[in-house]
Amino acid sequence: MQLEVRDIKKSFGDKEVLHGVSFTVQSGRAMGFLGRNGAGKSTTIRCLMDVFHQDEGGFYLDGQPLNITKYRVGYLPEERGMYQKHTVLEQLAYFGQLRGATRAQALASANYWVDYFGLSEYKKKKLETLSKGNQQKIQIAQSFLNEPDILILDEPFSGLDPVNAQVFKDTIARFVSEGKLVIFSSHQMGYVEEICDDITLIHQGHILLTGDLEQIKRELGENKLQLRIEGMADEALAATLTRAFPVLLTQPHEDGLILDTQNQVTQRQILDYISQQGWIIHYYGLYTPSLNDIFIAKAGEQA
Amino acid sequence: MRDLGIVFNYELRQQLGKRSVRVTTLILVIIALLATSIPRISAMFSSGGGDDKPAAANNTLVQDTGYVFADEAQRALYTTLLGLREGNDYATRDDLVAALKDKQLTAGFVFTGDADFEAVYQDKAMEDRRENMLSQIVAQHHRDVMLAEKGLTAQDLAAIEGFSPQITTTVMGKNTENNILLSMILMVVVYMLVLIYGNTTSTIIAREKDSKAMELLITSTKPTPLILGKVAAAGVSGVVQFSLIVLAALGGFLFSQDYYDPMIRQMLVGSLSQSYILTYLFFSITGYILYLFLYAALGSTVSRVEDVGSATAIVQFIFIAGYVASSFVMNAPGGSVAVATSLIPFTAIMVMPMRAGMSTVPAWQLLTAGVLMLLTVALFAWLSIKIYRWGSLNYGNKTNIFKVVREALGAGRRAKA
Repeated sequence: MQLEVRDIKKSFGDKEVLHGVSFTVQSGRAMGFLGRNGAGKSTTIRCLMDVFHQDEGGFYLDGQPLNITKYRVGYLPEERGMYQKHTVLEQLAYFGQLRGATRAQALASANYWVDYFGLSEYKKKKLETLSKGNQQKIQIAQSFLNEPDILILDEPFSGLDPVNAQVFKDTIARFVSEGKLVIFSSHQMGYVEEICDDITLIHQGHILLTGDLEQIKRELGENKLQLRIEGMADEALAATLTRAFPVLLTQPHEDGLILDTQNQVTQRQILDYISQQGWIIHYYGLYTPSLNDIFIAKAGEQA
Repeated sequence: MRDLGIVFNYELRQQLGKRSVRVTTLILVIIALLATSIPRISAMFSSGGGDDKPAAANNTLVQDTGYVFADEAQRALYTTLLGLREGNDYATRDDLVAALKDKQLTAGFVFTGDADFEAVYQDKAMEDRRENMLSQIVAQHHRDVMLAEKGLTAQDLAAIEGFSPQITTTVMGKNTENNILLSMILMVVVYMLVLIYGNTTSTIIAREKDSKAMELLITSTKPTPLILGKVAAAGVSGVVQFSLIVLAALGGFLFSQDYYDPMIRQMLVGSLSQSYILTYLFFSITGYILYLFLYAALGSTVSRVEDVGSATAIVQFIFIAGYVASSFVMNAPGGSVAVATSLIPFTAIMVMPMRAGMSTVPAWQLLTAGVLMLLTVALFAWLSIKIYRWGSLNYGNKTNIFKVVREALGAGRRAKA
């Protein structure tokens, strides 16, 4: 399946918050939807889930306009909430039924996911009696009910401890390997980098970049090196190198100074210069930006 | 339709499964059963009451009570009539007053003629009835003497006073006297049903917003089955609860009906006709559903459960206005106010059954009110779905109902576009 988000525009009152959002999601590849607070992630997802109606644009699945009600969709909203005073299993089965399962199927699915998250003993307890962490797991469990074809998760990692985050990552990986269509938004770049094949970066309602994560990293790391010299501050190194190679662009980084050769300075020239200076190399290598670097660089450019 | 059934079943299970609902229902059932069985229960505890009353009266007029009589004949008469003992008799008023001051007596009566006496108290308690009781006995004796002088007996007088012409009453329509009690009882049942379950419906929906469960719900199914299912479940759970209470009351009444005053029995069952029951059921149930939709819509406009009370105040005001209007109908069931308020759906819920119980409502009015009621229910069901959908997107913003309706309808038009 291929989901195409095409030129979505959305205004609240006079303020347009989505300015033609477009990107594509492939099944079997996890899509990380990234952006700062207020960038438009949740609004886009809510338009996709038909919570809001977009003013312009549309959603297409395999080229056809998407009718979200015709597919099994697992959805985890940013604003977590279930019935606090109802029992865990009953309400999970209820949500399962509302999404198309029979009572027996919904109960089986609810039982499976509650057991999967190690919460079997709480099946007949009211949700409000569970700890915050366990409530979060029940929330996540509801999004996995009925083996969804499409999984849409808005900030799924918020509130999860590292152990549960690992369980959740493994589960998402399982859905991806089964060929499901998975989109999730997050601030936590480490998790996204681990799970995602593709990313879409949104900022102030505009898409800054979208595509294959590895390819984006390669493109953004092209002609860039990373260097740290023993006993020399990065600022002094940058000053010395730009005097020697005026075309060189430098950028500070916590792991070492980034050098953009602009394809006009070769690695041999730089290494020869280091040798002439008698410097001892602490770190030298091709620069591959982390997702965090990409996010800060791209979102920062627009800020 | 499938989702409507799922929502209805789930909400009904949740509602009737609450321990508080089950316990409250059980308590109310017991109270209804006991309350309607009171005539039989009280009869079981009373025995030979008729003989006790004179003895009690005489004893009251003997204990701590002194008498001064005008002459010997009077002393002999009242000693027999009242069962007086030696300690009750005083020679003079002064002796009696002295005994009162010494607290030997609490009251004394000084006869100054055949039927005249003075009552003397040390302290007079509000509940002291001795003066009235003696007055009645003296009056009774005086009347017997006067009748005897005319050659009549007490039975002759009773026959003269008890005469009444033979009247045959034929009521072609409804007899207000007979129907007022039943109509009032049924009106109170509807009143309680709407207020209790209306608030329950509002609270259920507000709690969904409060707990943020609403977004999951509206992404799992459409607003129509959600709102219709919730209203139907709240409505049915209310009807089930109240039916159990009414059945308990009916059971208690049937168990004790022979012990009820015939007039009250007539007022309760004499007016039950098929047309009245059908009118009552139609307007009560459709009106109840109408109010549940109103409460549901208003519950969707707030984000916190604690705001439900203020949001639903307007609908409570309208409903109570209907209740007050139905009270006026008792006096003039065919008057213009009664006709007008029985046609308006918001007040027809109370007024039309009341009118139907107390007078014959013209068929055109019944038909018009019925059609208006059904149309209004459909309109407000549609509107409550729109407002529920609007409410799912609006958290925390303070607003008023008119703005909500405008925005909800506007959102609907945009969605269609």
